[in-house]
Amino acid sequence: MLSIHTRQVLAGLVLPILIFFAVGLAFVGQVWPQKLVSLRLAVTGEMAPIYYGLTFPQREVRHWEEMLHGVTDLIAENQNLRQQNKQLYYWRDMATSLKAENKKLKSVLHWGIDPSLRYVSGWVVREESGPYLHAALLDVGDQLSPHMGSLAVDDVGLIGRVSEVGPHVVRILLITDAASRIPVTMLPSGGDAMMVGDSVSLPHLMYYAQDTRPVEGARVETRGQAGITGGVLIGHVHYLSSGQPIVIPAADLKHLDVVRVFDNDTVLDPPPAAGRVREHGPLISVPPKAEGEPKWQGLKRFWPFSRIGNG
Amino acid sequence: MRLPSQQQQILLRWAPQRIMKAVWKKIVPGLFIICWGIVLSAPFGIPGQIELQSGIILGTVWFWVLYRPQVMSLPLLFLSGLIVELFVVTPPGFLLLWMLVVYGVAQGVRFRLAQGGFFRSWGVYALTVLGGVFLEWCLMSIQAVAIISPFAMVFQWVLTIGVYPLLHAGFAWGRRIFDNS
Repeated sequence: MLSIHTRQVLAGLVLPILIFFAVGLAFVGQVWPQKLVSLRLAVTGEMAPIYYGLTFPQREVRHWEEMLHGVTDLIAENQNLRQQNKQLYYWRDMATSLKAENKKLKSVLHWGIDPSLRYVSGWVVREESGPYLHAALLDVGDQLSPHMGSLAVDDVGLIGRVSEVGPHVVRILLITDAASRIPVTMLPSGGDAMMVGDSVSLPHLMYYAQDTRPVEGARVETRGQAGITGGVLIGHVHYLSSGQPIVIPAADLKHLDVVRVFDNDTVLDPPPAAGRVREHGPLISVPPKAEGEPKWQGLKRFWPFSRIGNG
Repeated sequence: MRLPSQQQQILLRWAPQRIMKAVWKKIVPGLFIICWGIVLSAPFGIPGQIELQSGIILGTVWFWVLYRPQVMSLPLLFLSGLIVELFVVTPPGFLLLWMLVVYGVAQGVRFRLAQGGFFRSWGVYALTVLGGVFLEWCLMSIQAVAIISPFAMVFQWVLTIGVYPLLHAGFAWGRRIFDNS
């Protein structure tokens, strides 16, 4: 049994000894911190469920706070949603408009052409439909203006030919105009004729050979010759009455929007069907024989757009 | 009038409960230190949480050693300090060392401060803690091989001595309950 004095001495030594241990622990922690840090991390990992439980009320309170905040901000949120909805409507309309425009542009693209050939595309800015005139003004912008008499097509077929050329706008004389004269070929008979507009109804077929009369439903295409590209779909033959064949145009002449104009010598490879994009290159026809420009070439403006030949 | 044998029986019947109560009284401050050490190591994201952890632990040691040293024994203090060391982010061993230093200072001035008022003990506690936070700041600066901003040291010191009056009031209330139970 220890004496009281000894016990007091030992009790007085406990604190310095423990402080010594604590200093040793701090020293070890400074010199070799890795093991102690790993131990702390391991304990923290084991305590994760307890920490989760401890912070549960805090998370719940935050959740309620957010809910209450949401309730109090309901009016502002509603206003914000209305604003966003409005914006979304705007973007939806914009997307619909762009989709329609894209569809139109794609529909025009299905005309197969040689990339080296000239063409211009543009939007119809005005339709000039009256008792004496059937034309459309096409905005071609800063693109190279096409020549007079160039063929103009929509996504399906021929709509007319260029009759006037301005710096940014060209006039397309529609096939229904009284001044329109276009040499055509009827298929499958292969007979030639002249398609003449009358500004009143659909264009008529005239000057066809008696042995190759137009047949109801025959396909009508442009006749290939100098200054005009052959094989471009125009429409189909229809008889309004006996001896009066007309051409029902394939193109929608009443709703023109995007139009492509090919230059005079452009060789078009018409599409196999509307809405299809041609995957192969066009068939290039033999160009007409070069011949000197006659001095009266300027009169072409007032003349029928082309002359029939064997080109 | 009860007979002596009857009193002995009653004493024997209640002996385990009394022992448990006595043990409970002995370990409450230690448990308090451990619990607050664990609770304040949870990721609450409270500003000054780490500093508050040290402040509560040191304040607990100071109060119980000063006013009721028999419930804050040195082995219990050391054991609770070792456990809390696992949950703090101060340099290893530093909080334990500073708990022992606070214990030693409180033991040394206990008889003089116990007779004085609250502000006197609070002032001595503030000076003791100032030494601790300064030492920790020095250690951290050495570890970082750079002079860390003294703002951290001042913040910890102010928070530690600022939280002590609340602890004092709470522990004084708890001490009365202990005494009456």
